Amino acid sequence: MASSPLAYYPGCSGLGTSMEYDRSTRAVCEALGIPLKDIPDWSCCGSTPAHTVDHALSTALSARNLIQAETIGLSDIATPCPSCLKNLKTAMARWQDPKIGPAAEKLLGKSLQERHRVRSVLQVLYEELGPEALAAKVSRPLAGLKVVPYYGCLMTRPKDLMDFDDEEYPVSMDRLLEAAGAEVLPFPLKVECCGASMGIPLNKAVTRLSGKILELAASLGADAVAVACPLCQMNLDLRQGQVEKANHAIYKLPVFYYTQLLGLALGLPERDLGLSKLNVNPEPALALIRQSRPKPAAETAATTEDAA
Amino acid sequence: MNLTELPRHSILYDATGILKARLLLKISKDLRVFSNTARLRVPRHGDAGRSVICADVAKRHGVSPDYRKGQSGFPARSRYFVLHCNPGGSGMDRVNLASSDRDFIRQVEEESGQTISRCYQCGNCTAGCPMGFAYDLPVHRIMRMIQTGQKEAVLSSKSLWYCATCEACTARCPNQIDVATIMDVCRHMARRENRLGVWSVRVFTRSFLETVKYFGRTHELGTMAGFMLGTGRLLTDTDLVPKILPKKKLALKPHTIKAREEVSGIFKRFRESQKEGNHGK
Amino acid sequence: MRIGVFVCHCGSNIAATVDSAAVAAAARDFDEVVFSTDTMYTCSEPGQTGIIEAIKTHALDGVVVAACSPRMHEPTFRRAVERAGVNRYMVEMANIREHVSWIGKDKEANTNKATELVRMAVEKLRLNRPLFPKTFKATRRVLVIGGGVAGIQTALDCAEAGLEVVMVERESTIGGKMAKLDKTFPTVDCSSCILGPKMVDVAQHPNITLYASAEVEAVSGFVGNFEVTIRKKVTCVDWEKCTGCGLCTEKCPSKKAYNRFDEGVGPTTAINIPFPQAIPKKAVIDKEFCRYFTTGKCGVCAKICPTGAINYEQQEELAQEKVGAIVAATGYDLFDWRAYGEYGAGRYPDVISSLQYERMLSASGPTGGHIKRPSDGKEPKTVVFIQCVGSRDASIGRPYCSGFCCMYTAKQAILTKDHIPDSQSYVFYMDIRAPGKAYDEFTRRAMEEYGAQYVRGRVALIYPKGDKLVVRGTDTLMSSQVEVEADLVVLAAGAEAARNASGLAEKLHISYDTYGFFVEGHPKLRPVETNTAGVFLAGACQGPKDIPSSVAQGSAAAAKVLGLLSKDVLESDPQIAQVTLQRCIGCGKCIRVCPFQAIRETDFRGQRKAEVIEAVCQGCGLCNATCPQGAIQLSHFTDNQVLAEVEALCRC
Repeated sequence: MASSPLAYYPGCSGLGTSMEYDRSTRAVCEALGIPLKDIPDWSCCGSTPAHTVDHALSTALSARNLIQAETIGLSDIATPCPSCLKNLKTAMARWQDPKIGPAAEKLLGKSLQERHRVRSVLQVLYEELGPEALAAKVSRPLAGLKVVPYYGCLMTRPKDLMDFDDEEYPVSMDRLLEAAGAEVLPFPLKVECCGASMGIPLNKAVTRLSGKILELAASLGADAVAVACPLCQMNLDLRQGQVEKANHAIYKLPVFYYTQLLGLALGLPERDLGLSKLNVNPEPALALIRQSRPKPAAETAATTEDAA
Repeated sequence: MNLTELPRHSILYDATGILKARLLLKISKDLRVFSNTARLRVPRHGDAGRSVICADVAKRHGVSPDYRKGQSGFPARSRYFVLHCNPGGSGMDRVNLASSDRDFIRQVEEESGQTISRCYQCGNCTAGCPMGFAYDLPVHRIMRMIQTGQKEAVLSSKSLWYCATCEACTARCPNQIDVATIMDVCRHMARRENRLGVWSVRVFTRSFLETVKYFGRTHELGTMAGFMLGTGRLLTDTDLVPKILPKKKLALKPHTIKAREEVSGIFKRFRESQKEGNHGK
Repeated sequence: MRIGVFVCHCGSNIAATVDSAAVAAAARDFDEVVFSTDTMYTCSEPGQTGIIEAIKTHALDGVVVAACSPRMHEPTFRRAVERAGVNRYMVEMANIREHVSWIGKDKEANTNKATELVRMAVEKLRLNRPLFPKTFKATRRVLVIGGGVAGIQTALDCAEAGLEVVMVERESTIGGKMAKLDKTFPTVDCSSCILGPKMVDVAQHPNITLYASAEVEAVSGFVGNFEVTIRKKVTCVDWEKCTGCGLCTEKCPSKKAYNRFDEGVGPTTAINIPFPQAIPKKAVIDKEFCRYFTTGKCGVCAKICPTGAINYEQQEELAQEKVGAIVAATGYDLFDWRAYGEYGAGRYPDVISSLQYERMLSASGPTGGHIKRPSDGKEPKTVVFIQCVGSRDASIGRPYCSGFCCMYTAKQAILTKDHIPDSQSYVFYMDIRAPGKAYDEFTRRAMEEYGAQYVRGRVALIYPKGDKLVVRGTDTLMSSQVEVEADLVVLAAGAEAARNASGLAEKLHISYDTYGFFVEGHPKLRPVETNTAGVFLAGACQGPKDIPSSVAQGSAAAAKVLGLLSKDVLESDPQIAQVTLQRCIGCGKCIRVCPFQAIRETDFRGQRKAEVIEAVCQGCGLCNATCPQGAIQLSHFTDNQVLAEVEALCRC
């Protein structure tokens, strides 16, 4: 799929706690012929903390990145993180607001020239590529792996701002994972909050909310959970131990980024997808997938390598 | 600011609050703390003039009014925190409807761009709120308090800080009110009025933004460190360290950007605008 | 001409900001004005008497009244001058109240403007001619569209008064939504027990002709003389022969047809009779599920039928009826609640609509009156009712209140306890709307006697957990989030206009609002009339309402119809279009543009000309505006008359 490059905004966690999301996103986009060009010298969008402090501050921090995209002449921006997505989109809208735009411009010292389009990588994959085209490129279908698709609270809400899929029951990730050969389970808590950034200040929030999600996923017989948000992944995966302890339960449910699963289906090498970075051992799920087809000999050697 | 203008609720009741207050006093030289206990003003803090007692509390503890008078004024620039508890009231106090702060209502509406009278108190926002279990005032009650101009109750509630900004309230409101933005705006107002809110959330927010200010991108480890030091919770997430370090997902060194001064400049100018009192506008 | 000008004070309504006396004085100098005065209240009896006396004393042949809006009192003044022997169309009104005194306080400016308006009225009046209405005979028959309780009431009232009634119902049986109900509030009367006798009366009344399984195809004509084309839909059963014995339904092999009457609760056979008390009790074949039509094989019913009534080749038929008045009583449909994604959007079988639940409660319904969970057929112990689903909700475009859901939910909660004594019902509500007689007491009974737990708050999310449904809502009075695990969730879906009501409205030339409800003549004072002469409304088609109100409107519409058709002849409004034949070039533009199809092509000495059908013309003036020659003019608003006003204004 040859197209003009998308300005790519990785988001701060992509360099750290969600580096496997960044890695797998880049790998999948490359494999699917979607050129990504990093926004030069991008900075933090401010995430939740900034907009809870002040809207002009948040707008200024996010708008800086939109302007950086302008410096490489791109106005079509894609980001994997829903929080970054919301902040960038909101910055676009608030720049036009006479109560906030001028104040943000004063803080930033620069002006936003163009109208940018900001989308999630999920939206790009779903709308521009589409499940059928993806299915055509799948070389190693996911062998009916039972996956629970979890979108998180921000991907499709609020409806007017995010302008993508459905607010209550989105299906974009479902369709893409189905195209990759997974068996996607109907999951009623697709957009229920996992606890977000409360993990550090109020850990109980995460153990409670992520607990509900993991509990339901486990009770539905899922082999894995697929997510599209770094914070959701951290809460469900890295904190799964904390959740288990608080709820006196054992889930042992691997939590993949949906791009990792898509990458596996596209036959990309596992090290390019950062599978080793996952906390809850993904091996049980991977074993199910590997059973589907014998893999080439060269691959076997590279599977469990941990290349940082 | 006159002591007698202090709202009744600005009193510290619980012991943990005292610890917080002591820590605050230790952290900053020009802090003033309002407390209900004589213990805080004990000279062990080295500066008897730095803490103040509320009038009614002073009476209750038999502290002479003279002492109170001596402390009632302090420099305008000093940062002060008002520690609150029991913000929404137990609902037992009779509210005089004429006490509705119409300026507050107008300000909330202007800053959020929402019309608060559209809310017919259906409770859908509360019903879908995932953090409701931690709130002192449920979301719909905050909306009602705004409608009736109960500024004090709203801005001193803990709910504002526990909100995860998940947008469920906005998504489900049948009157299409952007409730999440109203919560944001109330948080901004509470900050501007130096409400302490929930300490752990404040510290987390501050630590996060400090790393952004210095490096241009979040430094997760730095945020963590700031949080631990600010709250004294040194064991936070230490159980996660052995899981994350070997996978090299936690950068010890911060990621910096080239144009660091652009980002730190934003924060600098923001701080200045706050001081000027024009609220960053 | 000898024109008299009367300038009203209207107490202080006009006089406070307009110097009425000065206006009257100025008018005295206008051309052809021989008398001018100001009065306190022109519309009052002394005021009108003053006009009549002035006409007699000064031999006036035209009158200008400068007062309120013509919409208020034009008929009053027209009747007044008629009593004085002057043609009613020789009256002009200048609106110096709504258009002058009510807009601003500047007395000088207002007085000037009022004077200008009076001058304009005088100039127009000078070109007025006496007009005389035509009379025509009316057909003493009425068409009732819709066989629900409102339509039934109208039909019976009209029939009893000696009028012939034609009723058209698009389902194969009359009874409407009321026939689907189990019991009715607040008396908990059995619905079909009280409706049944009325339905039978309709079927048997000698004055009523019933077309069931039929729709109105086209309406033409005008008040008193409507011509209606009725399309009889294909049922594949000859209703003349069918006795309603039901043998065909027993033998039909296709048993999974969608059951329209039961709202999809439980299937039915492809050939079916909707319910035992159906009127007319005749069978209908649903072609979508009939094996004869889908596979070409079967024909069991045709073999079984003792009277040979099955006819697979049946075609649509058209029937023509002439009526003098039409009553639209098309009722409502339930809002499609699947728009609520948070309630599952139809994915969860145990989340159902109130009407589906009603069918379950009914002893003659698909479950024999046993409440069963659609998913596994078990009896539910915890039933959650949610009110305001699709009502009072701006976010899905339904901001209005549907009016009867609070009541029927209370009824359903009471019946649930009756059916399942060890059940617990929860009702999530925002407000309780119970304005009728014994209504509020009824809702209290549900709470106090029948143990229904009423929770004030909305529900944000319903999701399945195991075989139950978790309902997450709020109790705003407790100020707390609440949660309950339900076996069954019943949604009180709101009412909306009947399917394709707007299409029917277009055929009848009546207005409908954003939601498809038909628009009444005046929201307060004319609830059963429309702005189209001869067309009336009854029941929920005008706005959601309960059964007593629908019945009341049914009788009200009947009264209007009887009043209309009680006269031997009807008068037509002479303020209609007229064609000046010499100017007409026969281009036909007016014919195409007329929204009422009131103009037809005619031949005049071998030339094509336009001709106005006087009784149909509503006097809208579109033709006048369209005609390139100015050949078709609107009487009482001719181009010259309007231009005279304009010129008068320009010269001021």
